[in-house]
Amino acid sequence: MREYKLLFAGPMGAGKTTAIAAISDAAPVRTEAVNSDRVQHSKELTTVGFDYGEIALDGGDRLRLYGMPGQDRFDFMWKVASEGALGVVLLSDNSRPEPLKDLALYVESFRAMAERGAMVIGIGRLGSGHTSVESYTAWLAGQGLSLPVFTVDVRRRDDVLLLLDALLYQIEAARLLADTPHA
Amino acid sequence: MSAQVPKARKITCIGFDWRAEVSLKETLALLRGKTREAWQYSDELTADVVVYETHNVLAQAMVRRSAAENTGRVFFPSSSEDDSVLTLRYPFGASRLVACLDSASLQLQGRVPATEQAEAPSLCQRLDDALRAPGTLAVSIRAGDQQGWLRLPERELHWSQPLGVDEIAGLLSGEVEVEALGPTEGAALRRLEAAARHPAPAEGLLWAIGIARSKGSLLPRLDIARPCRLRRWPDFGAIGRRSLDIRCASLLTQRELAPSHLAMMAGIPLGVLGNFLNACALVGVLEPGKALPAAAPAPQAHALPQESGLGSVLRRIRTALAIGQ
Amino acid sequence: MLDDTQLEPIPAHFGGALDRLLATVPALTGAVLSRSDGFEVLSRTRAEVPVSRLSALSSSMVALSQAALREVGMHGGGGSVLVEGQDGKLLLLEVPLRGQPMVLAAIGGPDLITGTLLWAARDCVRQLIQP
Repeated sequence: MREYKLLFAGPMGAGKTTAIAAISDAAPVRTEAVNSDRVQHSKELTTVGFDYGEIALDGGDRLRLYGMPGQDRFDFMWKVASEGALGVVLLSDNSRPEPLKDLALYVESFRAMAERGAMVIGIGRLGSGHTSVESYTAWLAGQGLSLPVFTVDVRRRDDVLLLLDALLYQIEAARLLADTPHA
Repeated sequence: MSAQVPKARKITCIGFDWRAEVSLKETLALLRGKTREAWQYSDELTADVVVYETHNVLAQAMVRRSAAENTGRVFFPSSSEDDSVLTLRYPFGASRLVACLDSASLQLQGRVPATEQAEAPSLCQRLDDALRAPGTLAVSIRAGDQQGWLRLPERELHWSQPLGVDEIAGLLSGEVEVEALGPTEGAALRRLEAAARHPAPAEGLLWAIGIARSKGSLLPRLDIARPCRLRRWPDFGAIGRRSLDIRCASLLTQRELAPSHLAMMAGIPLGVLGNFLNACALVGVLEPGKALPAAAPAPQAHALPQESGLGSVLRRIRTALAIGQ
Repeated sequence: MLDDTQLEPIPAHFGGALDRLLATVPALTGAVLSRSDGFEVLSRTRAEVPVSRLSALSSSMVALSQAALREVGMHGGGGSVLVEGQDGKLLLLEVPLRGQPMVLAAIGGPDLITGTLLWAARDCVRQLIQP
């Protein structure tokens, strides 16, 4: 049996746990603790280890879904989990004060995946903030990155599937183009 | 009214992947002479019969809209909890399709087939022309009692009412007038400003027009041999998408490619790509590449390579999640 | 040298409990008390200890170990994680304070006897919960 992994990352409260729950075959394993940082986010619980879900693949293989803790003091977890990951779904919470600053932190932390196209960005709560989708794509372009950026509501399974669909095509296209000389 | 040879009735599908479109065209060709009336496939959503994917939001809205307006169009859902409803599920079986078409013929009896307007430019093309006409300050869009306008160059859209998926669906299925307004049409512009005050997402409307109202042909300003690229991803979260759109966008954001080359790499017929490229052009994300036009399509050797280990994993993930097959 | 890191007002008896832990077990390098979501609350150290990193790691490790126990059908708090290496050991204990659970991390050298460490650290947890 072979195993593959996908990561879900982004700031606290962006919906990583929810996104994994929307697509995992079984109820995900959660490692939540009482959130004492209500300035960052008002939610009761926050992930401190990782969330874990899985999807059975044909042939007995397995896709593991890891939700990273959002706060940057847990970046050791991001590094450990990045090894050998297929790609990463970055979720942004547009209602936070500086969503692009948040984005910069995660893009930098998962830079290797971003550079090989194995990253997709889902913007949640777009209307609750003042940062436009164009601002996200412009910021990425400034970093030399052209990644899929979609407005999503990760409570909807279909939106999570859109993110994964795009991520898989990105990975595939990068490989295809690497094998194809420029015209 | 004098008797005349009836023209072929039209059928279209909405909300499915492109494979369903191709399959429907091919099955129709096989059924020639086996149905009560002659049928042909159409890209226009004004067709007599619309087969729709039950779970597609835009398709649902179109059906609601059409029922409310009593357009007389016949709809077949891909699934239904009501056993008495005729459904058409992809892959379309020939005998089921015949049953549906004959049933539609009975329902449509007495209704004159939609008038042929093949020679008239598509809505997509008219809108593209208006957006690109020199000196245009705004483009007025009128559909029935709905009215809106796009301010240039920002492409800010204002509409006479909140523009939701229902309104877009209504607009896609009927006549739409488009007019470019220049500096001399100040009065008309002011009337528009007063009549259409609701800010609306332009990308969703433009994308839907590109996909659904292109009449299956590439905009004349696009060239199948000229490399192009996407300067950014369209926001498929807001505008809805087909799997092929995502596939093509992932290639065109990473490398500039001529449409002919793109079709080969994506493994999608060039005819099917037209709507995608038109939609990208209307939304304003398609830009010409820096390379010279390819003299001939890229050699076959560059086509989709044999499935690698990674390719197999990606395919199996798609199967497990039932996405983008 | 003992150094005291304090982020916000905390119950007065917490400091005393940590002081007594270090006094009871001289082989301890330090003790760090953190909230269960990884923020440091208070620490007592005899050497350089990256307190905030350790706080975050402690909360992750305790949460992961709890998740592992749940998966094999063992529920309930009060758990511990012991990590041993050539150069010493690290013990993490849940501190089930109502409303705001915490984690106590105790760091010791290779000579520290595990039983002693466990006994003293559990006693410290008792003091933290019941002053």
